[in-house]
Amino acid sequence: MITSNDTKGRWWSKMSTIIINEFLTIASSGSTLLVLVGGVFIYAVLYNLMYQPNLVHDAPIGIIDESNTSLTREYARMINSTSELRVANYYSDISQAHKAMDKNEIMGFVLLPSDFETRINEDINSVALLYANTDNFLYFDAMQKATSEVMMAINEQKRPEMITFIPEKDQEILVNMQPINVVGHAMYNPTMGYGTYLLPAVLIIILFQTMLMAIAMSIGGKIFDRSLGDFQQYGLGFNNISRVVLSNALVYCVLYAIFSIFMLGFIPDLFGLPHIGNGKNVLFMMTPFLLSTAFFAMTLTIFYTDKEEPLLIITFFSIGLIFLSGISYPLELMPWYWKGAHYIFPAAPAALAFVKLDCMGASLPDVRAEIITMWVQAIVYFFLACIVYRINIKKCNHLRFIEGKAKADMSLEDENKTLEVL
Amino acid sequence: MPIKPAHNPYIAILLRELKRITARPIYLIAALLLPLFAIFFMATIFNTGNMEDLPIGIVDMDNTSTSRSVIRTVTSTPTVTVTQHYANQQEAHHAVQRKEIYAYVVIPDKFEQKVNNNQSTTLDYYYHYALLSVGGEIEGALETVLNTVAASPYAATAMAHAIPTEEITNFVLPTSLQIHGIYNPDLNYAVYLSQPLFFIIFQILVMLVTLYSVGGEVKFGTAEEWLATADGSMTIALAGKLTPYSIIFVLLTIFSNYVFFGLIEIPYSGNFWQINLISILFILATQGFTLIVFMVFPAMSYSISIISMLGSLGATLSGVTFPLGAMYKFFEYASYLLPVHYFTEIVQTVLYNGYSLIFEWKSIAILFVYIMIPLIMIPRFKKSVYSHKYDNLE
Repeated sequence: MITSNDTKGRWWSKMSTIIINEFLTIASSGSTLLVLVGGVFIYAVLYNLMYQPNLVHDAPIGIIDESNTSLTREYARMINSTSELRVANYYSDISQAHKAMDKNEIMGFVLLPSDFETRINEDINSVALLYANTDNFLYFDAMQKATSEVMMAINEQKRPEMITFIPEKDQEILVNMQPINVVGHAMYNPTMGYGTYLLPAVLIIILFQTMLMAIAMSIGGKIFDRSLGDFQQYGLGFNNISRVVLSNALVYCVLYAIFSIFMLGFIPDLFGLPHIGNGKNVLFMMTPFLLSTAFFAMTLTIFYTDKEEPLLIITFFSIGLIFLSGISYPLELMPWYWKGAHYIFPAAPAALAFVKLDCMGASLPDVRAEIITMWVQAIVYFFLACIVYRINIKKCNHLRFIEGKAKADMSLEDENKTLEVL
Repeated sequence: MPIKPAHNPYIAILLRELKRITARPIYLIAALLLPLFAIFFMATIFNTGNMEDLPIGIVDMDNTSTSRSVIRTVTSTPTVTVTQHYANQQEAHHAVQRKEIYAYVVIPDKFEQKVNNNQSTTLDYYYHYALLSVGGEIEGALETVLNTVAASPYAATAMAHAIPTEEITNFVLPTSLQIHGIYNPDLNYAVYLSQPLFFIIFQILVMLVTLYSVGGEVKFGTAEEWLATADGSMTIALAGKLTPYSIIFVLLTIFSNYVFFGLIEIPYSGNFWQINLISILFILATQGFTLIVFMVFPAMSYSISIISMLGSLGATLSGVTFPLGAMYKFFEYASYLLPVHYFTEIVQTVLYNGYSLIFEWKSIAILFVYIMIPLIMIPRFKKSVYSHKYDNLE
């Protein structure tokens, strides 16, 4: 057996052997390649294509026009001309419209009451009613926005007529009144789309999840066939184990550095995601992310006994991670224990930091908290990974010993049996 | 009368599976612990589910009693809370970049003077839209509250000139719009997402556990012994194997519905047991779907990656967040391949519209089809198991 003293002189050569072996493990396993290629390339493109329309266009809405006057027809026409909505059908009463809604033919409907125009002509406020399904917030939002716009446009149109109801002496004052304008500005998401908001975070989570899977499959496979025990030849001291852990991590960090260029550099341009960050800043942020993810993945191998088992656990966390990153639901509103989970999974601060840097054009000091979090994670998980490797290596050799003994006993028994027969 | 208890292959398989389940922790972790964790996660992550007290900033360049009254009006909105004042826009902009605030309102210089002198002026507000769900919520709140502010000079003028308020209101707003959100009028996130997202996560686990338990027989070389225990009947072998998991899943389904509709009080019209029946049917259909995928390609290393991707796609293709109708047609049609599509459709009909299941008989029938198809594929699957072609595919 090689003692740790012997290995010292060949530090680099040992490392390169481990690195080359790990590359070979990946290259020779079709299922790991499937996760890497399928996960990183196909999945990233697929997700982008799914969200590519980005905005809700021409959502079907119904109209109940009880008065059928020129004004109500104009109202319906204007709804139809908004980009968000299209008038799919007209209905004669509420129950009919409700039925169409249940069959998903329309997402909601606008009711224009029979006295809609007469009320205006009599100087009484006229009310239109929007009944909207809430089963999809984006549809609801589209209906709310578009109908509000139409209402404001109709008001603008009608206002000059309404002045006649004001006493003549006051008319001039009102006509000359200068309005206070209210103007909202959406920041960082110029298309105002859903995909352009969600996908940058999803890209980070895909990188995270697939790296977790690839490492789990490689090490899980080695635990299953006990070949992880071979690492014992490099020694079990911290110096030696840390070398193994670092070499393995390096393999995945290099691979994922390349994947990241594709995912974070190329994909956003290809699909028109917000991409205003400085590449150097993103690199600075990705370094602790890839390291902490690799070490985190290695730490998790304490739970694995084979190659497939890890997927059961890893896949489970995909959806939760989107939430924990604070992108889709504000962290401020979550209970404290989920805020805490934000600090356990490197993907959570990474997604937030990436969105800040690349979608919002933030500078490095603005993502200081996230970067520090990831470096702390990298250091903590590095040490944990070393401990886990040591345990796993010893466990594998122990199992190998027991299984070897069992096999030997079996063959001994067989021999005895043969002898007896003879 | 039987003297010797007859050997029942179904019971034998069942007992064999129970032994397997308890031999390694992964089965109970994935089939029981993680679903329970997911129920807890989805029931608590949104807290109250209402977006309230979101931090925003103010840039008050006017600093007069009028501007302060604008701030007071903004503060009165429950959605936002003013946490910071900034001297200029750059500072506020920077705070948004650091995500310290989600939006800010700018009150321009000479605001009071302009309002009093009847000069045109503008209140700008900036909201974070890289975080669309939060940004959208804040946009709605600020738009409403600032428009109230914008209308105030009219009210003041009306007062000054003794014009009846009603007439001035009708002048400013000849028509108005009443919005009725059906089922979830407050747009509560817990009501919207907790239950569907739990089932999306749950179906991923159901797929993976089903695949792992059946695939394990092929992978670990125990398939022939498994079939022998079932007296060579693949149907019994599968039925006995899946029964324990199905029972766990069914119990979890009922428990989760109880948590969502009972404990955290998500409103529902319709019947609690009707919702449970649909959910149970969905879980069984998901098991069927997994068997179909595995029977087509019985190499576990590959099919487990494929199934984990298909399961995750369910999150998008259920259409709960980004609507299917807004996607490219290809993806809308692709979603018809996944059981979760039909489940979402049925549950939403029942929950949101309180309608009976008859409306959704087609979707229900298709969920049954997912359970039937594996039965047809059993002979083919049996052959591929005996062929040992897939045993060592890595």
